[in-house]
Amino acid sequence: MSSQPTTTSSAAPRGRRRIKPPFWLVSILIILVIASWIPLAVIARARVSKSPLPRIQLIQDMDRQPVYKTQQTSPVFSDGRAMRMPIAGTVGRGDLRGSDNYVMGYTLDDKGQPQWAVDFPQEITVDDALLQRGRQRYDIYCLPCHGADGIGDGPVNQRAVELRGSWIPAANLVDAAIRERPAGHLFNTISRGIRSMPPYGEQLPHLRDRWAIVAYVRALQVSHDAPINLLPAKLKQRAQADQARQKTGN
Amino acid sequence: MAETPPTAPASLDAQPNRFIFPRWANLLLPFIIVMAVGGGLYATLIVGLGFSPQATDVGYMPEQPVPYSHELHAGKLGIDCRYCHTTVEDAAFAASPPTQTCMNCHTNVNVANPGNIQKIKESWNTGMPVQWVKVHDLPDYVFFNHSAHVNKGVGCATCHGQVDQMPTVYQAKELSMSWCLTCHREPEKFLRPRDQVTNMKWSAKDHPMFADQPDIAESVAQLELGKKLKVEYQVRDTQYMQSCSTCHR
Ligand code: HEC
Ligand code: HEC
Ligand code: HEC
Ligand code: HEC
Ligand code: HEC
Ligand code: HEC
Repeated sequence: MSSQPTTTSSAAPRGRRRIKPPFWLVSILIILVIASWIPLAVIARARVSKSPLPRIQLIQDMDRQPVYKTQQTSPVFSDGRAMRMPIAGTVGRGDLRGSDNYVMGYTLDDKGQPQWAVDFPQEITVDDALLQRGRQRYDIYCLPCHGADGIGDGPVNQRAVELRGSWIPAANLVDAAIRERPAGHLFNTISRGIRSMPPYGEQLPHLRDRWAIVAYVRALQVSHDAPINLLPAKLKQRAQADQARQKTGN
Repeated sequence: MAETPPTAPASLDAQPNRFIFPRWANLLLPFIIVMAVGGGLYATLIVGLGFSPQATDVGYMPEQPVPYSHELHAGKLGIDCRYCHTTVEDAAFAASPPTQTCMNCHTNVNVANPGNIQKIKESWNTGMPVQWVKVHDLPDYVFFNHSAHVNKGVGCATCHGQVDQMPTVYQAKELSMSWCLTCHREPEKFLRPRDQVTNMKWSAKDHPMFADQPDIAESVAQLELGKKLKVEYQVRDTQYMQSCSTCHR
């Protein structure tokens, strides 16, 4: 390095001299840095928030193809359904396969009066698998109103009774009157409803499932006054302890 | 270094510095390098975060024609998912319930704001369906099947989130190809007993299998149970689960 003065004003050694960038360059830089946070903030918001705006589709590909999928709408039909409803009175193939008792829960006698199936039809064998299935289906479709043990205290029923209005409380399924109903009558109640109870045939399309529920309802009815010596050993002990406690008065 | 005297050609003397780069121009090179590297990182960040399905798809919560609430019906009233979505166990498509299903109760339930169920009653009287807006929607070139999953012990909550806490349904998971594949490669991390698929509060460590290990970690319990269920339900091998034609057929 030479010690000779240069033409510029600064006298400091060259390596240490500070170069001052012009104001406009500095401003652009600052604006850029600040602006770069805006897209980040927008993205952060998009990642955590919910929005009714349609999803962003960056690449269309063949995402939406001109076909109707299940339950879509179509402008072709006046009701807007792309799926057509079966014509009233249509019977699906296989829907009537089985004895009358199995399909409807009754047979018609000479005078056209229903004769309820007293017991389960020949297509059904009541075994543990059927009862387990029945329990599961019951818990889905009946429990909301009739309650887990059938006495009619389901959560929906309780809430609806609280709200009053025209709600009719769900029946107690372990009641003497319902115990005496023939199996076919219970089946028909599930399929077609009764008085203010809605039909469940649509939601339970498999006939076997309806019979499984009938079997489970029967099991509930038995369980409500099962004699204590029919219980398995562990439950028996508990029940006896309960009884003893009740006798002593607490 | 030999010094040259600071003499300049005569022509430049007239307008000094006119054609000489200003001194700050020396900063441009490092500046450009920093911008190129930083800009590259920045662009990667924007594309990675912004174009991911987490940003573009998750959280889609369309407005529905009826203010129907899963939080109320599935959560507070405890109605099972299959009461309304009846087809999940039998079909590829999880059907939205017909108006009849709502009317099972709403013919008689005395709700606080009858205006909110007006559309349901209208639909019941006229036979015109309620037009629910679809929330989860895969591209049409992807094949998806609910029954294949539900019957092998994949819970609704794994793919739809805590629906029982949603007043309005929104998309909680990405539903992207990589998301599907994380499970298809290691289903044991997600499987649960078949009878618990609609249970929104299920956790592996409450399974009776771990009754004698009260403080087992959830992930450990899940893995152990998942491995057992994978064998029991005969879940197919990884090769089949991640072959393209399983989902693109
Ligand atoms: C939406 C609530 C609701 C659900 C769900 C429901 N029920 Fe009912 N159920 C009722 C009501 C209300 C009655 C009383 C009807 C009346 O007396 O007008 C009733 C009555 C009954 C009866 C008595 C009928 C008779 O012979 O007197 C049976 C049996 C029955 N239900 C079975 C079932 C079964 C099985 C299921 C499940 C598939 C079920 N219910 C689901 C509301 C319901
Ligand atoms: C009382 C009936 C009912 C019950 C019970 C119910 N849902 Fe729904 N669900 C609906 C209706 C109606 C819609 C369409 C309107 C909407 O999206 O809110 C729907 C929509 C959905 C959707 C969004 C579908 C789409 O368009 O992508 C999902 C996911 C869903 N339900 C999951 C569940 C789960 C999981 C449960 C059980 C915890 C459940 N539902 C229980 C009636 C019900
Ligand atoms: C099993 C019975 C049941 C079924 C099925 C059912 N609901 Fe409800 N719903 C109720 C009850 C009970 C209430 C009142 C709850 C409360 O106020 O705490 C209610 C409340 C509502 C409300 C709130 C009304 C208000 O006051 O703001 C709406 C909206 C509603 N239901 C829509 C629907 C729709 C749509 C369907 C069909 C997909 C449906 N419900 C099916 C039992 C049912
Ligand atoms: C493996 C993940 C997965 C599981 C488990 C799952 N779903 Fe879905 N669900 C999806 C996907 C993906 C879609 C979108 C399907 C499409 O657009 O074709 C969907 C769509 C839906 C829809 C809208 C109608 C349709 O089929 O497109 C409803 C309703 C629904 N799911 C309810 C449920 C219920 C209830 C359960 C639990 C019994 C459940 N889902 C379990 C992934 C899942
Ligand atoms: C949480 C786990 C999980 C997720 C997430 C998941 N799957 Fe699956 N999937 C499974 C399991 C388990 C099976 C059952 C395989 C069998 O049949 O043994 C399966 C089966 C399938 C099948 C049927 C295979 C057959 O031929 O029977 C298809 C198709 C499929 N998945 C598509 C998808 C798509 C598309 C997605 C993403 C939207 C997805 N899956 C997300 C676990 C998952
Ligand atoms: C587990 C199911 C599954 C399997 C297996 C699978 N895919 Fe996909 N794929 C999907 C889903 C779901 C999407 C839609 C993703 C979205 O909507 O972002 C998709 C999207 C795609 C796309 C379009 C991506 C785009 O956005 O442009 C391509 C290409 C593709 N898959 C190729 C493949 C190939 C090749 C294989 C085999 C190596 C394969 N997929 C295996 C589920 C699957």
